Amino acid sequence: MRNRIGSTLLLVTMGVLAACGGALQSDPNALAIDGGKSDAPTVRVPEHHRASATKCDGVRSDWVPNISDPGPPASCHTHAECTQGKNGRCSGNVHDGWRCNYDECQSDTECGKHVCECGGGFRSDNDVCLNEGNCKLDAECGTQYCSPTLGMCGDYAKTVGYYCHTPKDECVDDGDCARVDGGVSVGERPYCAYDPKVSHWRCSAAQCEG
Amino acid sequence: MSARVVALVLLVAACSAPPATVPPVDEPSSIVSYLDDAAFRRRELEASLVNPDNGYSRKRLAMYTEANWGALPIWNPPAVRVATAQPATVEVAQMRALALPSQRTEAELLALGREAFRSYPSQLATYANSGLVRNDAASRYGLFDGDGQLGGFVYVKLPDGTTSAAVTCSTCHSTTDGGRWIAGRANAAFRLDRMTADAVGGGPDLWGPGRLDVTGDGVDNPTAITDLRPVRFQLYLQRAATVRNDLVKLAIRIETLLITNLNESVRPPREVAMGLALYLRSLSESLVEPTHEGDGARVFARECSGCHQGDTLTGPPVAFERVKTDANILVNSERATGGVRVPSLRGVADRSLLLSSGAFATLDAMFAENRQESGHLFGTTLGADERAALLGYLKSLR
Ligand code: HEC
Ligand code: HEC
Repeated sequence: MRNRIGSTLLLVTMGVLAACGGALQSDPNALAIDGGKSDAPTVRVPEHHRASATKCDGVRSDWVPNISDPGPPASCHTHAECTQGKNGRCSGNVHDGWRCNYDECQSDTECGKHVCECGGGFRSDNDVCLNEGNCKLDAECGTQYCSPTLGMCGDYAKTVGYYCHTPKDECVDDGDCARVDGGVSVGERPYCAYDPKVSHWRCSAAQCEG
Repeated sequence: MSARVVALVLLVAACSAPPATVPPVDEPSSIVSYLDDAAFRRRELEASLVNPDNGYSRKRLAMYTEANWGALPIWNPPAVRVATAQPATVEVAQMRALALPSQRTEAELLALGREAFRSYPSQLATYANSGLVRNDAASRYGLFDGDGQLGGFVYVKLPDGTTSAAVTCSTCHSTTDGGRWIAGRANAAFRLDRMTADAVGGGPDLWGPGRLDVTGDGVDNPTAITDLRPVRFQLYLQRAATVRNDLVKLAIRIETLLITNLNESVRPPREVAMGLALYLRSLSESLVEPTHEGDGARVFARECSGCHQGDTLTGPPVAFERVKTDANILVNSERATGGVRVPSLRGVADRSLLLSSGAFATLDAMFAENRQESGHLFGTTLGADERAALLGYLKSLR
C-alpha cells in the first residue's frame, strides 16, 4: 500500500495542486508554539492539534485536468461538468482515474458531531465532513489536546477523525514512532494514531486485513 | 485422530498423489502444545517462515515472543452481528463476547472457530460506521446477506462505551450463491476501497471489487481475496508462498495476522486462532473430488499436473519466472519469497477472482485462445477440442 504521504503519485498530485494556485487550504492544525495549556505544563503539545474551529475558505484548485484517452476511468473531463454540488471539480490523477467531487461543508456546524476537514477529501482538496472522532477542539479535552488521526486500516485516506490525547498515550507525534517493533523497521514507517480498542494513541503500522 | 482425519488419510493413501501433496494430519497433541507451550509456538513460527528476511517474517521473528506480542492483553469484546434489516441499529443489549470452551477438545474448538469466523471482530472498521447505515450499503459495497448478517460485519463495544463496526473473516472470505451462505468462498464483490473513501467524503475506487492492498510496502499492489475452502490442501499460504502450512502453522498465521490487524495493541484468545484454523481446514469437505476419467482430465494431466498435482491440485511453490503473473504482489512485496503459491484448483469452478491480482473473472477468459493479457499462459494455445475438454474438466471442480 501507500505511505502516509510517501506515495510518489500522491506527492506529485499534491505538488501539482500546490504549484497551480494554492489548492491546499490553510492548515487548521496550527503548530502550537506556546508551552501548552497553562494548567498542564507537563503535557507535550502535539505537532497537530485543533485549538480553534476554522471556516474553510472555499477556494479550490483551478488546476486543469489533462485526461488522456484511453486512460484510467474518467467520469468527467472538465470542471464545468461538475455541477451536482458546491465548488465542483473534475479531480483525480493518471492512476486513480477522474471523477467529480464537491465541498461538503465550510464549518463544523454542517457536520453534526464531527469536524469539517478543510481540504480533507480523499486524494483531493475538497472540504469534507469526517465521520469519526471524540472531539472537535482542544477545549473538549481537558488538559489534553484534540489531534487529527489517520485510520487503522492502512493510511489510504488522510485524517479520518479527531481524538483527545490521553495520559495513557504511547506517542504524541509521528516522530515518536520511527523505531517501534524492537528496532526492526518493517514495511512502511509507522505513524501515531488513536486506537479505539484501547482508547489512547499508539504507534500504528496496521494494514487492511488479509 | 478423528474419524474424519482417518478417512482423509485413507483416501489420500489410496490415490497416487505424490507425497508432497498429502495434507498433513492434525495431531490432537499439537493443539494442546500450541495453546500451552510458548517454546513450541516459537519453534513452529520459525519453521513456518519461508524467507526470514522479508518484512512479514522479520516482524514476527522480532515480536512473536512471550515478552512482546505474548504479553498483550487478550481482546474478546462484546459484539453482535450487523443485521441486514435496515435501518441498521446497534443492538448493544445483545452484544456478547465469544464464549471460550472450558474443555479444549478439537470438537469444542472447531465449534468456537465456526462461530468466530462470523462473530470475532478481526479488525476494527470505524470507516464502515457511516457506510453500513446507508440504504444502498449492500449494493454499493458488495455486502451479502449471510442469513441475516450484513456482509459479515459486527458491531463491537469499545472500552470508552462507544460502539464501532468491525470486519470478521466472513466479510472477505464468504459470500452467497442463490441465497445460500458459503463459508470460505471469496466475496468477489466487496468494495473495501469504496468504504474507506466514503468515510471521508468519497473518492476514486482504488483497488477494484474483491481486492485489497494488504502490505505496507509502499507499493500499490492490491491482491484478490483468496478462496479458503481448499486451505487444508495448500502446502504454502499467501500469494507469495510466505508461510508453510499445517494445522499449527495456520493457527499461528491467523494469530499473528490478527495481532497486526488489531494494531498490535491487543491479541486474540489463542483458542480463537486454533478454532479458526480447525474450522478453515474443515471447509474442504464441501469440495468434490476431481475425476481422472475423460479427455479433460487427460489434457489436465499432461499440461497442468506438473504444478497442480495429485488430487489436491496444488503443489510446492514455483519460481515467479515460470508464471510471470503479477510481480508487484509476488516479487516486490513485503511478503515475497521468490516462489509463488500454487493455488489448489479444488473449487476453482466457483471462483471469479483468478490469479493473484484477480485478473480474470472466468475460466473461459483465462483460457481464451491466444489471449492478450500476459502471465500463466498454460493451456492458452490448445486446439479447440482440447480447450473445450479442459474447460469442461475445470468447471467440474466445484
Ligand atoms: C478485509 C478482507 C479480509 C478479511 C477480513 C480477512 N481476510 Fe484472509 N485474506 C484476504 C486477502 C486479500 C488474502 C490474500 C493475501 C495474500 O495471499 O497475501 C487473504 C488470505 C488469507 C489466507 C491465506 C490463504 C492461502 O491459501 O494462501 C488465510 C489462511 C486467511 N486469509 C484467513 C483469514 C482469517 C482466518 C480471517 C479472519 C480472522 C481473515 N482471513 C480475514 C482478505 C481478508
Ligand atoms: C509452472 C507451474 C504451473 C503450470 C504448468 C500450471 N499452473 Fe496454474 N497456476 C500456477 C501458479 C503459480 C498459479 C498462481 C499464479 C498467481 O498467483 O498469480 C496458478 C494459477 C492457476 C489458476 C488460478 C486459480 C486461482 O485460484 O487464482 C488456474 C485456474 C490455473 N492455474 C489453472 C491451470 C491449468 C488449467 C493449467 C494447465 C493448462 C495450469 N494451471 C498450469 C502454476 C502452474
